[in-house]
Amino acid sequence: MKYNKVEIGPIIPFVFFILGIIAVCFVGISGVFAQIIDYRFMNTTVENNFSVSANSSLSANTYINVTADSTRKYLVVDLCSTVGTGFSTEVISNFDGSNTNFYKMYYLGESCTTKAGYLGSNIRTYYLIKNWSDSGNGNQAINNTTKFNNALSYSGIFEILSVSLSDNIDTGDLSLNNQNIIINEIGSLNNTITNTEQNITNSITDTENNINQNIDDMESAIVDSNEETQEVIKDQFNNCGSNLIKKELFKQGLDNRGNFLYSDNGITTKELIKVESEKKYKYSTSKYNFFTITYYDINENYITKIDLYNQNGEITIPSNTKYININITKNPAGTIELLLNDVDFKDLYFGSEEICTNKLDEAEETRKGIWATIKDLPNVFMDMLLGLFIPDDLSFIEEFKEVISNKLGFIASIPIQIIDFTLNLANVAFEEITSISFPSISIFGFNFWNAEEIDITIMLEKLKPFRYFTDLTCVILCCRTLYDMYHNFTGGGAN
Amino acid sequence: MIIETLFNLISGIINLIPFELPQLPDQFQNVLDMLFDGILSSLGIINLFIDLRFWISCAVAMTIIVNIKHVWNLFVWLLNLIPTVNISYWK
Repeated sequence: MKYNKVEIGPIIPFVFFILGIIAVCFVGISGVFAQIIDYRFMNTTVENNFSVSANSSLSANTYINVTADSTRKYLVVDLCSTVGTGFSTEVISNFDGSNTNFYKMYYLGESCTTKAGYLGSNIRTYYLIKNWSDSGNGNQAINNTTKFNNALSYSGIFEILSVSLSDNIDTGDLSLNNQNIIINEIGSLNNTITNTEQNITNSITDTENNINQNIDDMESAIVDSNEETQEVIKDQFNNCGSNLIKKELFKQGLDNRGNFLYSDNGITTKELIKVESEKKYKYSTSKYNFFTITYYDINENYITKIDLYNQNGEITIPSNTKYININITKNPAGTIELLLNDVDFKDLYFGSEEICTNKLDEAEETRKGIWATIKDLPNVFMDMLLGLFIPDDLSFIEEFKEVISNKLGFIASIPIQIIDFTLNLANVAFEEITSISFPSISIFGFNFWNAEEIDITIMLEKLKPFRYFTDLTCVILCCRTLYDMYHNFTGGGAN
Repeated sequence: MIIETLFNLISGIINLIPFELPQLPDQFQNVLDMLFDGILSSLGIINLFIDLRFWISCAVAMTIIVNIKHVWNLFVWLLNLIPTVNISYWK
């Protein structure tokens, strides 16, 4: 039997492309799909940091704990109730939340079955979230406990089907049903006021205690941290080597006219542009930059180390700065400007902590002898080889895209999209995917649906066995490909 | 360095074109953006059923291994761009 030699490897990217097209088709029905996942499968509307926990059956002390960074107006709880129409305002009206209030309840007119097998009715309740607390990151947050106090006053089963957040009360399908039971806030107002007063009193007491405790902790931490930082930085300078090395370090860092001399971590004299008239250093970077700038404010008896991480815009270095360390950890993006107001350049030293280490490494290298150097040659060679092919940063791709976009116009549109797609694919695929973003579809001004994000962590957990199966398929495909390749190399023999 | 030089060389050649072609109309550009963004977004859906990280790693590894001859020849071609380097190709 002749073995059919099929090269699977090159086909796999093509398969991914086809899967991508299929995925786009998924997006095409995302409006429906999102709703199905949202209300029937996932049972939650995704917000940032949204989490909910609750007992499945309501009782006198059933709590729904909701945490979210959100600006949604309503907390929506879908229930399966065996009480039916007897389920009235009083049952859930005693909603005990300091930041939310029971707002409306709809009897959906649909039947449901409890876990114990009893026939019930679908009830959807809405809670108006009156006051969102500031989560401190620009969003609003709730961290509430919802309590159903009076559920036991009715004999029956109340099971929670889903908890979600919403901006609107969905009355579209509900209006077609037999009964819409609308309950306003008045029934629960008295209890809510009493509870809120008590909660506020408790909250103030707790907050005062917390603030006092935090102040004590912070003061203690500041003292500890300051002492520790001083020691570490002084050690760094003291361990740098001889005074000769220190002098050499500073000499390398900057000459007496402020010219940047040394190259380290991607910063070179060419890239760092000195603007003499403004006493400013400008460093051009590209889109995906991650960097830290550390500068040391060194006085006679005191050293302050300040780290700035990924800060955009102009970074102003104080006039008494003596030592600056710039560490670009990834390919550059954007613009970093060091504004050196009132700094005498001859007193300013640029350099890096690594220089000390490098100097000591060089000395160690000399001591190691020839044999150790020879042993390291393969690594050195590999580094050199990789350096030949792999660029330090990808800013040249941005320049390339700009050139072909300007010159080739519409012809370059699709290649540019493909370049962006390829670069982003690596970022997206190798990060943990925990949500699906359905993009807003708007063609020629007609908006089909808005963007929506669905949390898939639960679904991922449920589909994990299937993923094991597909992983196994992938391994089999790879083995088969390697097997084919082996026979290609050895000239057959598998008949 | 070599790849960057190649890109710069291509950019330089394209820059020699004495005219500039018109850009794609915004509407079409938006549709293209939507399409590619959709593909990226929908990777999450694919990721539900297959372990993307594993599959892409395998795909890249297999593509390189199966086409090792072409990869090696490309590597040699790039190295041969350096003056004084002359490595023979895998035939």
